[in-house]
Amino acid sequence: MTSDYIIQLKHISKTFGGIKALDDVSLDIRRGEVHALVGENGAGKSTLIKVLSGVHFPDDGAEIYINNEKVIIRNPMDAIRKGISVIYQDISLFPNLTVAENICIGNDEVWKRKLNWSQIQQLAESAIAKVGAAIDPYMMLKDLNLASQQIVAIARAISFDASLIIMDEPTSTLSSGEVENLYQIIDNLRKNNIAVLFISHKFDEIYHVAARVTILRDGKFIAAHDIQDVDRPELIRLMVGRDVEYISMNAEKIWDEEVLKVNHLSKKGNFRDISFTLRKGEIIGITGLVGSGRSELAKAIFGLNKPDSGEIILNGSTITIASSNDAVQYGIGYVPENRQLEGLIGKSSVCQNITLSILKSLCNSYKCVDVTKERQLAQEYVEKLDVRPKDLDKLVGQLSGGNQQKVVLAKWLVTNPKVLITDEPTSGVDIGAKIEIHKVLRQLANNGIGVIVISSELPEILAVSDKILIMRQGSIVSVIDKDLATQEAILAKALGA
Amino acid sequence: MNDLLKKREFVMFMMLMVISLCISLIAPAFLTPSNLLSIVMNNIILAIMAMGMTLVIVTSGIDVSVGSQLGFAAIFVGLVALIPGSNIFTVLVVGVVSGIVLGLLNGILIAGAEIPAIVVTLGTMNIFRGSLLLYTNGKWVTALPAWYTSLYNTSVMGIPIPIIILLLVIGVTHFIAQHTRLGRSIYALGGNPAIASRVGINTGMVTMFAFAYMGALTGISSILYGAQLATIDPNAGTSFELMVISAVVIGGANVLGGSGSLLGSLIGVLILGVLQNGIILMRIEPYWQNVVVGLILITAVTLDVVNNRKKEERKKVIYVAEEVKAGGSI
Amino acid sequence: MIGIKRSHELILLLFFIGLIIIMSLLAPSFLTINNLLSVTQQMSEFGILALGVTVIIITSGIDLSVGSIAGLTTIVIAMSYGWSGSLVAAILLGILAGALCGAFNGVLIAKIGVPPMLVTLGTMTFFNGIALVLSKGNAISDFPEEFYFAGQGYLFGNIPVQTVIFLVLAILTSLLLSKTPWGRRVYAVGNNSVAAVFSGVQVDKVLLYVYIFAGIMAAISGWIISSRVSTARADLGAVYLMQSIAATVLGGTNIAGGSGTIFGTVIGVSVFAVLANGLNLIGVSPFAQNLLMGLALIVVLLISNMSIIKRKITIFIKLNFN
Repeated sequence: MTSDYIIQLKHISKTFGGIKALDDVSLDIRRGEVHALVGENGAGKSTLIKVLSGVHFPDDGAEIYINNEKVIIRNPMDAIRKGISVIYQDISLFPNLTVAENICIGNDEVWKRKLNWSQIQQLAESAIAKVGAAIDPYMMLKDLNLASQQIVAIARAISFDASLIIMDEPTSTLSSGEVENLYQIIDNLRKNNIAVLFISHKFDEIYHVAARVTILRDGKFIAAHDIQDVDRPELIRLMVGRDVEYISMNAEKIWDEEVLKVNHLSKKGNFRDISFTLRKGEIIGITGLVGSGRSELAKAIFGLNKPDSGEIILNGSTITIASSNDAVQYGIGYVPENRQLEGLIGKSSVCQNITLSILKSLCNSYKCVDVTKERQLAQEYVEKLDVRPKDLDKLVGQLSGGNQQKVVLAKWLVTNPKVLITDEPTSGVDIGAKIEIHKVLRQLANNGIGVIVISSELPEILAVSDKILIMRQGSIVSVIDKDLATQEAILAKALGA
Repeated sequence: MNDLLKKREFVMFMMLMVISLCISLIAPAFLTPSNLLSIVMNNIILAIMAMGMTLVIVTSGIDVSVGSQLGFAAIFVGLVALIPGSNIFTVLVVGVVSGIVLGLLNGILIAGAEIPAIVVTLGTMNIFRGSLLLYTNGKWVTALPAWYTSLYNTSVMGIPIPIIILLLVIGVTHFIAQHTRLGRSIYALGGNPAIASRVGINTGMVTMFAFAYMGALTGISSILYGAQLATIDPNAGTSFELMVISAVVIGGANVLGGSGSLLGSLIGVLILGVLQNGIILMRIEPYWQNVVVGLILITAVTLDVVNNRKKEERKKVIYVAEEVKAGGSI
Repeated sequence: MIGIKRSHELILLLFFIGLIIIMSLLAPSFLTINNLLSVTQQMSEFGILALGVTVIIITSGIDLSVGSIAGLTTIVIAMSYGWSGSLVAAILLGILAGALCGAFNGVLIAKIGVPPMLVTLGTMTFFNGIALVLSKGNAISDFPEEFYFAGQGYLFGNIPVQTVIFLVLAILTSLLLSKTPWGRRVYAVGNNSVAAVFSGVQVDKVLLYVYIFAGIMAAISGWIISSRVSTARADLGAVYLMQSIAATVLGGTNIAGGSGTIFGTVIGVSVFAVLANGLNLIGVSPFAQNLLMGLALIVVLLISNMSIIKRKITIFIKLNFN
């Protein structure tokens, strides 16, 4: 039984332009086993999935065994036919096709040159039934919610006789009820001898569903354990290579001056009756579950999500912020959660990214951008924040995550903001850069800026904030002083327990 | 989406009805069988080519070279028809094959060299037209034989041949679009190009097919073109691509790909055809036509965006996610 | 990305130089000052159109209506001269009409969010319709002698006026794009409009001005065309639409947005003009010009996409012969 591996990967390496994303990784999954794959962002999890699912071809020397038989996975369809299916976070199916089509597309049994619709419907229905769900096979995929779309993707995998289903952060878009449902489906799969490779950042889930766990770090295989043999602190240690240790930094001085005051701010379906005060020199941490309305609130203050009622008071005067440009003019900066999509002009240089928000003030008397002045300013902040490499003309898209985030911070610092809102400021950056960014935020506060840090990561919230707001279902349910806060207490409030 | 599409087709159908009603109130001659037949007969080519363009636009492509293709194939067909001994069959083969070759050339450049469709077809539009003019030296093809020119007005079992051809084209295109793997791949490719190849779709082949099929239908149209007009101008079909694209867009196809229905495109063709006919019957000076067509186009695409946005807004209520990303998360 | 762009411009420049050498070998009269000046004269009209198109394509948009705007402008100038009697007022009104057309496009695109291709497909027909209605489909040619200066006149002896106008506008556009905050924002919007919004850039305003700018360029182009042919007609300018887009793309502006230069566009326009002029001198049928322009566009893009083609061929061989 123990040697009954459905899949074994050995010596998997993958090099992109000279950089080793995977370095001699191995992975063994037993038949019908729920196996967790963990690692920090950039540890190589996604690359490994892509190799396994045929999107990437591994470097020479790789060995892949399915049912103890050495195979080569040529392309994604080949992987699916060999029994390996992936459920992607964003589903990655066809929104404009029906459920039945999405389940059957590419399935040689029914997806023939000339399509036989009754055959297709039958196959789709039986696959949906096997998952234990009820979805109309004639619905367009885009008319379903994400949880149902996920079920369609799982049904698709089952219809291809998958023996291994890879789930990439499957719960990140689900409600708690839907997560329970997913657990049940996974249980069902396990009983039918289908193995699940479960990729997640959430330890509760991992300990709930997985039997074994493989840990990756920096593209290398670190360890594989039965889940009961490794406790959480140990798992963290294996993932990061050292214990996570944020440096808790206290405010040097918090002025009495209120920079930002929010009064009874509401927007239907987003957040309701939000009131808080941010003082000069203070860092407020806002936490809560994803979907608790944190980011929506932040966007409302930055003029990108018009609230229905309530007021925003900046330095004592009530203001209306109708656009992001208004917000910038008032001295509010916003470091968004999705750096690539929302934070950076990837194909533009470091210098031009930094000065994008203040081009007008860099103009000379001819209404043209004074390039010398621009470069001096950008240079100053590149030095200050220690962006590496210190090359103003480097395209931002080519920097590492941490340095990209510093560029986004620099873009706001040059505006001399009164209030800086940062949404998940350290997501996807390595631990060293995280601590550096924390230091920068504290430094800003010490210089008299009011800072708001939104984060899901409780140790981060505890390390950087002076005051912590906890949101749940669109409301602030608790305000805790830093010194009195513990992770457990915050979590309890956030969950409503 | 199905609902939205149905709704969109329904809206355009109602618009067609309203326009028809207005015209028939002012010009009683509009609502006569012979006039309605002439509207259809005058727009056969537009309808046939709109079928092909729908598929091209569903793949998120566009083909602005079809006007040139039409002229090219029409001249070719005309020259072959002039050769003694040629018959309907040779003309058909020449028209369709030359159309396919031109369409395939577009397809190969788009799929093989990854040059955007609008750019490729912009180039081939000039290449096709230029080589045609060069070859004919600007001369018209005239004195076409009677067996060929009578094609347009001959009826089989009481149905004019062009209408039979149109019905065949609609039937075949519908069959391809809805009941074949290839057709569904066209929709899949337009709906999510990033992952189409992951489910085994040969995206290059699908793109090439869409453009080649467009070419084939242009070829068929070219045969009708010469038969209808009896003389063929090497400038035939100039700017016709814009009519075809307009009809398809009015019919609800999205230039960003993934959606578009044959029924919608046919309604789009009818709207254009009815307007053209009505303006003449109502004795409105013909230059008003572009104003009306332009306004309908603008209204249709603007309403689409506004409606879609409302839908998105309704979907955008959060509170959905309640998972725990806190605690021991990394 | 920059590497790719540079390589495209280099390929184009080499292509252009090669073209000039071939033309001057085949037609001795090609490389004379007077002929070169007349080349610049021929390229000015659609070159000006292409300046506006370039800015639009950099924002990842497209404008199919510029030809119609040019045609409409000619009518507006002719008619407003008819009732005002003032040429200056008429030309200003014409340019205002162009700006309004651009603003109409811009509002639908920037404020309502309709895809540019669809909006301008509609307005192309619509603006042309307005021009036809205003002129009742007729050509108008009641112009005073002075009106012909812009399209037929010369400065400093033998420099065509329209060449000067084109050069001035090209330099101006280039400066606008590379030196002003607006230009920077145009590139930012074309690269990543979401990130631009999150940086406080008023994307809708930037886009609105972009389309107004293109409308003004189209109007100026229309004015010059009308002056050169001594006529106003609704369909003047329509022939330049596809040419101006093609020249822009040939000049290295990425149809997906975010990159492109006025320098590239001017080269692209010049290639077309040299082709037309040179072939004419050699005595090749004017019909060959279309063909060669189309070929030039495709060939240059094929060369600059060579790496993709090579990769595809390699994959094809791998799949079929391994």
